[in-house]
Amino acid sequence: MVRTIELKIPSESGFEKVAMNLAGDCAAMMGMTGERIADVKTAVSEACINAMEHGNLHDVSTKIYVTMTIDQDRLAIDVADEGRSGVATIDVDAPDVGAQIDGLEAPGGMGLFVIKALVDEADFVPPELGRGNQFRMVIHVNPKDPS
Amino acid sequence: MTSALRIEQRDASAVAVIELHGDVTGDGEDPIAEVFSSVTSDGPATVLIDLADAHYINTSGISVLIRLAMEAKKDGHRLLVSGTSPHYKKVFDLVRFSSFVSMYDTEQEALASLE
Repeated sequence: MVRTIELKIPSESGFEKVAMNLAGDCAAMMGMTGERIADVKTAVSEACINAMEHGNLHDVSTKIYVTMTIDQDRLAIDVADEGRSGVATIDVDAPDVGAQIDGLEAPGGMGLFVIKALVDEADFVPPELGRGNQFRMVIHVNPKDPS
Repeated sequence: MTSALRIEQRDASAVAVIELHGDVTGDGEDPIAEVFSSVTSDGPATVLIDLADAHYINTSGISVLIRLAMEAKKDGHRLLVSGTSPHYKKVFDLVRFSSFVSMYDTEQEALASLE
């Protein structure tokens, strides 16, 4: 049986913790372990922040739509924004923190990179809202075999 | 939203310790920078950022720490970080922050590294 939880949060810093904690609760209910739950929570937090910053451009009148779908040992979490900044891409370079500390680059650009490292699958999918960006993360109870 | 960050500053063995409690996010940039500036205003200093009671750190918060590292490097200060949980240590390693700033499990280990 597939179970779905839907959440709508303001595009305002701090509310990403509501989605983060709910995702952590879902992961725990599915039997994930402590570190795996921490990975889920950080990934969801970063996806919501990306949606607030890049998708909705910090417009507090916009919303972030979070859908969590539990299907046996698979947790899919979709984070959708209202697309104030155009189409997003999953292709990101590793952040060059050395260059950032040297003042050669602005600090930042780490969110998607971290998410991709923490979850089993991450990509933008066609938006069910018909507009904006929809980012999907998939996490299994047990990490997939890297081979 | 009210920031859930609390900052405490104290001195320990000629090191200025800045404890960040609660949420380390972009919202804390100005107050953290202000405390950092106050402890480094009298010349080169060693500053330890202690994250032992930081329950939530996001990449915007890591960017705040990168800015501190940038200021420290520019002005000849030494910056250390201690107290990160294993999960957040993994995140700091992922973005390679820990390749550029010395990180320790505990404040005691960080202070011992200076002896």
